[in-house]
Amino acid sequence: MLDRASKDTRGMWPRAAVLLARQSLEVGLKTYWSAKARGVEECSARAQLLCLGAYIADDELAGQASQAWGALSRAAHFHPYELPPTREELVGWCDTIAKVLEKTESKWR
Amino acid sequence: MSEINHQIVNALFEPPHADQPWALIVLAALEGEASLHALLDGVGTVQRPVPVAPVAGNATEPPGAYVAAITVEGFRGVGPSATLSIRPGPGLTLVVGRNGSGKSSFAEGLEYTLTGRNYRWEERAKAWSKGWRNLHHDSAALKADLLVEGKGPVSVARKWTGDELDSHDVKCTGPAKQTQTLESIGWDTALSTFRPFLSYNELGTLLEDGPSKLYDALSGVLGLSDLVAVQTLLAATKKSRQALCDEAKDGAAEIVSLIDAVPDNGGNDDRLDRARTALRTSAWNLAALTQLLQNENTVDVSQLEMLRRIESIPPADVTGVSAVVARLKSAAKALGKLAGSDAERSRQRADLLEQALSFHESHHDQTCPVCNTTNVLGEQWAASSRDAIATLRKEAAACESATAGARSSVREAQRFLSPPPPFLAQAHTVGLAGLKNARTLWIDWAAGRDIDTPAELAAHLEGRVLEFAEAVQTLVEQAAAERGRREDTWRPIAAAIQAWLPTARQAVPAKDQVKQLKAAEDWWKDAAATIRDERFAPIAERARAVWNQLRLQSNVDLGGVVLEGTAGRRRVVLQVTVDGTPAEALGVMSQGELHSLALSLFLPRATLPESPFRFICIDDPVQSMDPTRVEGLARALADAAKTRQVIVFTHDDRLPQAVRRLGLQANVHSVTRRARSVVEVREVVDPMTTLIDDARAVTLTEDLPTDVAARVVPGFCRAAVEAACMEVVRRRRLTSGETHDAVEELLATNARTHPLMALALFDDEKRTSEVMPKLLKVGSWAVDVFKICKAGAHERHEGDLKLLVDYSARLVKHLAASH
Repeated sequence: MLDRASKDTRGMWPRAAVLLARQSLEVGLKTYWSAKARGVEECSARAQLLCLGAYIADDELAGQASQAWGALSRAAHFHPYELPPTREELVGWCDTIAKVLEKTESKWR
Repeated sequence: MSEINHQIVNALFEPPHADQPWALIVLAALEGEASLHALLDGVGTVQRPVPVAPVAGNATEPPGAYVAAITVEGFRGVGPSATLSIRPGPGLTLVVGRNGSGKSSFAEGLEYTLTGRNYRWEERAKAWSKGWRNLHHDSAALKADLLVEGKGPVSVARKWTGDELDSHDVKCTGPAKQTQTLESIGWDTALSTFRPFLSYNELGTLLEDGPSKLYDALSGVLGLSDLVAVQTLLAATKKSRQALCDEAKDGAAEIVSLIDAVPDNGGNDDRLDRARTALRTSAWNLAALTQLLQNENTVDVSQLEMLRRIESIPPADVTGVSAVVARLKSAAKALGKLAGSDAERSRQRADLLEQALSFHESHHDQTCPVCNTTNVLGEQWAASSRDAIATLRKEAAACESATAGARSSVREAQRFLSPPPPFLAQAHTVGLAGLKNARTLWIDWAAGRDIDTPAELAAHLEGRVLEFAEAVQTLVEQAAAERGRREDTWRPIAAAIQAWLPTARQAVPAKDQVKQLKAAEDWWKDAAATIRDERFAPIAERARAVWNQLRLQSNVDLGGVVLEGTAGRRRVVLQVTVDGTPAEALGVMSQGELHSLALSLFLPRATLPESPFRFICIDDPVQSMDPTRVEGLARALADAAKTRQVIVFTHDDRLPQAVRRLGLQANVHSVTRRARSVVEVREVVDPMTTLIDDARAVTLTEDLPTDVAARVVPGFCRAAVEAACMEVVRRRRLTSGETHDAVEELLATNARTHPLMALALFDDEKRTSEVMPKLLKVGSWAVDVFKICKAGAHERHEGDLKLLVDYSARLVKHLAASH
């Protein structure tokens, strides 16, 4: 959706990308916790992200993930006067998520 | 001559101005700088133009142009060709897109297509105009499709052939599809005069750049630039002529001070006095000065001439004098030897003796025929008499030659005794120290002419010649030195005068001209101010009206907008009061208010009836405006949109929402930019409808994996329901008189789905527990939708997506109707 223009996703792609990106982060975290620390996946996403830094020993990446998740959550809700995020913002968040997923996957595998 | 200048010329022909000498200056200034200078320099004349009757029906609107489409390709943020189609006709069109979405590329594209310029780039570094080209696309082109009332479509296209901004072809297609030049449409002037483009930087900057810049912007709008140009020309000419006068005046003062600095007044060098006199009063005697410079060889007994004559006195011929003295002396000596002898007596005596001898020889008488003494004339006597005769004759000859020698030597000596030249008698004026001595000695010397004895004369000459020669030489030397000194003093002064004269010659007439130019300028200023005020009055009035729409809760009241002053003192006076107290606009207004004010000034100017443009293109006016003011802006824009096509580009959704909330008619387009600068434009209605439509589109997208759709659709539905809730809350609260800020604050702190629904249903965010029962009353589907919305943004929805979208739409509709 981000890299290829398609008539089908015309106009609505930014919001769709937001929803998918956030869910992929949430699913990735859940999977990670199920393997590493069962029970954490039941906590709020915020709590999960706060714990993440200590577990993957990368506070900076955890911080970026928190920021991306917060921004995606905000974009997923309807907010007055705000337009959907731009492609550049989305690409940045997706990069962060990809890094988190890579890191967590390498940990539980 | 421009229309507005004609208006002034007509006023010029009214008495009493027409006969004023400066009237010609005004006319020459109207013709341009060259004509004005030619008139002033006396090498040109001015034709009085025939008075022109004011053009009737001035206020009728020319056929207006509307924008039908803007197509941008490979330009700025837009890669592949993208078209923004707008309904050509009055109405409000909003183009919404995040910063960087490419929306401004359309605004800039339209401006550049029509004007070949862009305000925003011109104000910035070169990088801006270098970065015009989109990096994701190879070819670049712009096209504006316009519809001109009563004429038909006109399109202007620019297609680039090279990498430079100006390496492009302009193609203009007129109503009957014939190709024409952009100039032939005749929008050139109008594009700047009624400038239909406004990027927010533009007037935002103008307000901050100071009153004179703002004045220029507004007077440009009024089409006063021709007036200003003439006035500037008059002022500049006056200034340059005045500068000429000042320069000449300073030059004269400088020369006078040069003269005054000469010690001892240059030894009474009369040229200094004459130059000073010529320069003393403000009416310089240029003729006298010119003559002074040319006067080097005239017969005038000037002091310099006197010095020159003294210098030409030949030195005394001391050698010649000593030779003549020697001759005199030898003549005297010769005379001395013959002292007591008398040449005549000797000769007569010799004659007498010869007669006596001849008498004696004839008569042999021994008695003296003279004294009758007897027996004295004998042979002996005859012999001694013959000897005596010879001696006497010798004596007489010697005496004669000595006398002749004396006489000629005296004559010769007297040649050296010429009297002093008569001009020396007047020479005292030049003040030479040796003059008196030289003249006394000379008179004394010349007195020797009366001496005729060689010995005395020799003594006279010998005793005086050295002293006399030295005195003359001293005098000549002094004269030469004095003249040299005066020339040295004079030369730099003469050079200064020489250099100054041309300026002075120009400055003499310039003095009068400055007066006339001032009169012309004053008159022009008044006349221009009158026209300016006439023209500006309706704009000021409408600016006030717009401001009153925009200000809403602002306590700043705009009393009037007045253009004042000219040239360096021109300014715009914004008569602003804060709660009734007069204040300085720039000081008391917030950034948002200033931008509103700028817009208040801009809207009237761009919508003047005389403008051939029926569209206004505003780029991002809501920056730094709070929601309240955005609502006012929406009203003002909608007002303008009643008679004009108003195209507004905006980076967020505040303006569209304000427009919707106020129930104003508007077409909204959203612009998004995907990878590789693919820019998409689509028309949007309201956010709820858009989101529902988007959700439905996702369910219908065949190449989207089901899993993806299941994860995305609930998020869209939730956003739609949230938007609907907010709309309900906002409408209710604002209608009940709550302030915007309070409502927005409330919505921002309750941004989650559940409290929002509580607010929408009960106007109380805390009553979340009552939401479900209330929705159950609406229908069990409503509860289901709400639950899915709450959770759905986080996970996959396993149920029927199309049904979810339909129910969400129903809930949104229900909420909208519930109010």
